[in-house]
Amino acid sequence: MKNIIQLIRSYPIRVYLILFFLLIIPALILYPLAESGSQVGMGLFLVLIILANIAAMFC
Amino acid sequence: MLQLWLYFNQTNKAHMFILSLSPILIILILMVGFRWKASRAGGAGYLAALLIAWIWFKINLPTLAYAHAKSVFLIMDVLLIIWTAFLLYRVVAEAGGIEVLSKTLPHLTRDKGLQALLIGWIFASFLQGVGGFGVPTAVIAPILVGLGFSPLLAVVIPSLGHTWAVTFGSLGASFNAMMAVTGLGWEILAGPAAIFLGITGLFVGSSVALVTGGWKALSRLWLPIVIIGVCMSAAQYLTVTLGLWNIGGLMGGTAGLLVGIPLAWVLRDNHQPLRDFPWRDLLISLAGYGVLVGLTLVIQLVPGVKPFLSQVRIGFDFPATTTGAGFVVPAGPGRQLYILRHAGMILLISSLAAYLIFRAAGWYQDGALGRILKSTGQRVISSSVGITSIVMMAVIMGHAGMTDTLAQGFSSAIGWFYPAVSPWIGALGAVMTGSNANSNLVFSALQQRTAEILGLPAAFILAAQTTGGALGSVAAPTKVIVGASTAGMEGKEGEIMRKLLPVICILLLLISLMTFVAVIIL
Repeated sequence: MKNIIQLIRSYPIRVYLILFFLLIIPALILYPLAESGSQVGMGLFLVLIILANIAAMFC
Repeated sequence: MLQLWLYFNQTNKAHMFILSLSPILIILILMVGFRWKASRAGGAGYLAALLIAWIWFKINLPTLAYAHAKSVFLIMDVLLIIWTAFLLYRVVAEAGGIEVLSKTLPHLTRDKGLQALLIGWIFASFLQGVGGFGVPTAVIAPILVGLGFSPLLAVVIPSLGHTWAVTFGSLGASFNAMMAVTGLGWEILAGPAAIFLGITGLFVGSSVALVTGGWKALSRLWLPIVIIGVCMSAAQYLTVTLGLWNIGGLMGGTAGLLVGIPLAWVLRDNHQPLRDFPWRDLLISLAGYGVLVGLTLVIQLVPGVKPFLSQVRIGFDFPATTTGAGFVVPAGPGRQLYILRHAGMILLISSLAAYLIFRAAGWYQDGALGRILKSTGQRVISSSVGITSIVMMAVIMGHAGMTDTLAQGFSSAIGWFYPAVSPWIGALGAVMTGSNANSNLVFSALQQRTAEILGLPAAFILAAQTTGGALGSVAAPTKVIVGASTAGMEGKEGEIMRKLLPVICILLLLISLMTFVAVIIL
């Protein structure tokens, strides 16, 4: 945990950038899957976005 | 309050109202009380909205998935402008373009009142039009200190001076945020917002004169204030009502410079020699913004260009959704991104053009490109994460019926008095979240829905929201701290707030009155 916090403090832009794309990319890639009515697709799509939002809180 | 209590008693919805308000309160408390950054507080607000929507508002998996997908397009729309607007500003600043303007303007006059108007009002508005992000105060406060203004005035003058240009400044980022969240187009929103902001602009000019030299300065300078204020407001109004909302602030500020510089020369002290004006340097420094204005005009006004560029479109049509509690969001298209004519694309091309012009003119030192990209990344990435979470929160609240619940509660509690309250909601949001754009993202949908329930013209309520947000944004603690640090006022932020807040409150009262009048007339 300490290493992760150290990493975030050392490279804040890179961490934010990774987080940002974690928030955006699932929607663009997985949305068509979710739209097809696939519960798994929808679930995966949502889990990734929710996790990225949680991660944003620790920046 | 009595009416709100009666509404809760009749509908038994008190707990749902409080739950709906919680995500917004969480963001505000974390940012103000615990000094969390918007990226962290936004994430917490998002999670709260998600849990409340899931447990109490019975939002289901498909509705959540569609809400998130819709929000991604809104986020892209908003962020493309924020990223590229700041990139263009950095391209110009790295070349020394902002410095050219900063060094030139103060020498036009020795009159303190005119200097305050020229630099603290007009130049600050221009900087807000092209840059925003706290740039006007950060650039201008040290200039005013150098001209002999007290550090307190050096922060207060530009902070007040650029307020009226915030919504259409930063290349329209705050206005775009409002359009994105409400789904209303510029045709509906731009006119009323420009009227409110334009009138505010005149009062802002008067306030700058007043804080600089008291009533004596105001009575001496009222005519230049009226002439310049009318020109800037009219330029902004005409620009945005032609659909060129992304350059509204820029055109307002440019009109101010075009009128203000000759006016300062005419009104100058006869014993004061006018230094040689560096026209060539000035033209080169403004070249990037010239490209931006030219491209925007060509796309919007030359027949056939806009339809041709509209052929590339990213966006989905979304089906109707119904929550487990029965709240329905009708089917419709999400936010459509016309990539080739998007304001972000125009800004990107303008940035490239400006970079090439400055490079050809030999204005860059080694490693300039790296510094431009690094500073742009440092400035925009963190706020991008915050905006992402806040937009997702707002869209989830809308799809779960939470925004509707809040709007029902507010309309019952405040009723006919709502037009007077709406600008204060916008201002509160901006003070708490630090920006007009964030305030618009959080509160625009709520203001729109409340106006609809009360049968009020939503365009004017939203104009009050964004004007209030523009005024409130300069009193945000984060902005005041930045302003204080650039004028050597660290630790004296309280003094700045004491000078700034009464003026902001008077201007907000004026907006309340204007909103009332607009609602009564319409």
